Amino acid sequence: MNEALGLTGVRKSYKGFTLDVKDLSMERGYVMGLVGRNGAGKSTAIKILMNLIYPDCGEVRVLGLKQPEQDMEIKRRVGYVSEEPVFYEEMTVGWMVRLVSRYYPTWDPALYSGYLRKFSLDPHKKVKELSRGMKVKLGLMLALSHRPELLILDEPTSGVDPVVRHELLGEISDIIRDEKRTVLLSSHITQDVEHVADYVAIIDEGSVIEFADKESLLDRWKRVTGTLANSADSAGSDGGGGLSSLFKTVKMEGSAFAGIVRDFSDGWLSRLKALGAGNIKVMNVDLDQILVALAKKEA
Amino acid sequence: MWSLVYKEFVQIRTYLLQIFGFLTLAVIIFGRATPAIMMSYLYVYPIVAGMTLPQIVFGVEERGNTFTFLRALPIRPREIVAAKYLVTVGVTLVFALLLAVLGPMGSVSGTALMAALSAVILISFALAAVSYFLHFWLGVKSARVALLFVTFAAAIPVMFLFRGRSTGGTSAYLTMKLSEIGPLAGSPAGVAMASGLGLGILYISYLASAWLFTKRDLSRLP
Repeated sequence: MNEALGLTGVRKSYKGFTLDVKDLSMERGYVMGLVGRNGAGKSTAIKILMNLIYPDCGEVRVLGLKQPEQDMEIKRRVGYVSEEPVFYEEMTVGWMVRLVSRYYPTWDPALYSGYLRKFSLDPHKKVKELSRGMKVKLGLMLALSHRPELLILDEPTSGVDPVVRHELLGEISDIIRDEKRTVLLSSHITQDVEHVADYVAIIDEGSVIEFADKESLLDRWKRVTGTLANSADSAGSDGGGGLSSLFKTVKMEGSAFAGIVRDFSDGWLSRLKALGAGNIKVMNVDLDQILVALAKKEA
Repeated sequence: MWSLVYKEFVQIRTYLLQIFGFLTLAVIIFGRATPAIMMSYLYVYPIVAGMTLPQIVFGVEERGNTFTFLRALPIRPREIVAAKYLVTVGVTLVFALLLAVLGPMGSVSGTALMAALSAVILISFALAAVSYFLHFWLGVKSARVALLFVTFAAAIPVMFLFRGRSTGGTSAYLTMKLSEIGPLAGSPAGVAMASGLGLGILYISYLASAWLFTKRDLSRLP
């Protein structure tokens, strides 16, 4: 009953792309970052959660309710900011608010007024006069003013310049920290997620290839450099029991090597030493490096 | 639901202003001197609106990709569809009211006026029913092409039957014929029957469109 969202055996096929999520779930009270390259399937997964795209099979649960059977109840309790900030361009901000607020019994006018001031939005301004960053803020305001139990942000910072992106990230971080919110934040910009997420799911070519809490994920993934006493014997470019089998990606330059490890542990380090590695240095990596390593391997 | 209907009216306000503005001009210019011309405007406009209103209403959503926005709100897809149909019902009824009020100005007899109302309401609802369904099925661009075919397919037999009259003339001719059919066609009961039949056709079209719109997710919307 404490589950915020869950996808089990969900599959959606298009020509040339299939989203296949075996099992992905998150409990309430946490922030989950959904990261992956453009076109990896993040938005499709989110749209399935929102019943905007119908899966071919599988079970979709949001806040303990089932999609699509309890779609209306789910949408009343979820705040959603879509990838493209789409509104009626000819209408004013105030008009959009009046339209949306009618559908949420929990709409809080005081909270809405607060966000209006915080985001410096003019209710008399037409939507078409707003910049993309301001449209994202309008989307955030509409999504938050009904006090959603779950907030779903689909690439909220995409398509904005770095200054606006930084400003938006600050606002989003504030919102997330403000209360102990349950948030699903998708982005192809890993730094956006790394700032705020408790859990991280990495999605690539339609499949979830990593899902863990952020700390353990960053603990497991390391960048390791060193030298090999006998690089010809130990590199193992054949894919056998050599150096390359220990790394997710590894690069050799003479006797020196540098690579990214997926499951770093003391046992792993012993195996590396057993290959004759010396001058070993272990460094932390960020989500960006993990994503690049995963993408390289897939390529 | 009613806020969605209100939304539709707000969004097509420019179109409504244009169409009712032209009609007002027609009444002012032709009302006294040549009331027959004014009446042909009153016959034609509701029919034109029946056909073009779905294009306007649907086009606004498709251009702005706002179906995504609406579908993400806690609104049943069939309510989104129903609001669009209700706009047509509202606009057609306003036209019918104008026809009823201005008819006597055009020296139209009571029987002919009732027959005209029956014809205009029925044709307008039937055209809107076809047009809306085509839009929900095919989207704006393809529906426009399909409507051209439908119009030609409908126009050829009409032209054959009514010896090449214009749309306005055809409405007038139909009106005359309807008033000749019998006491029912040129009476308030005839108007009620035509409205009922028109609404029935519109409702069947709504059911089909709502089914299509609900069955299709955003990736399969036209």
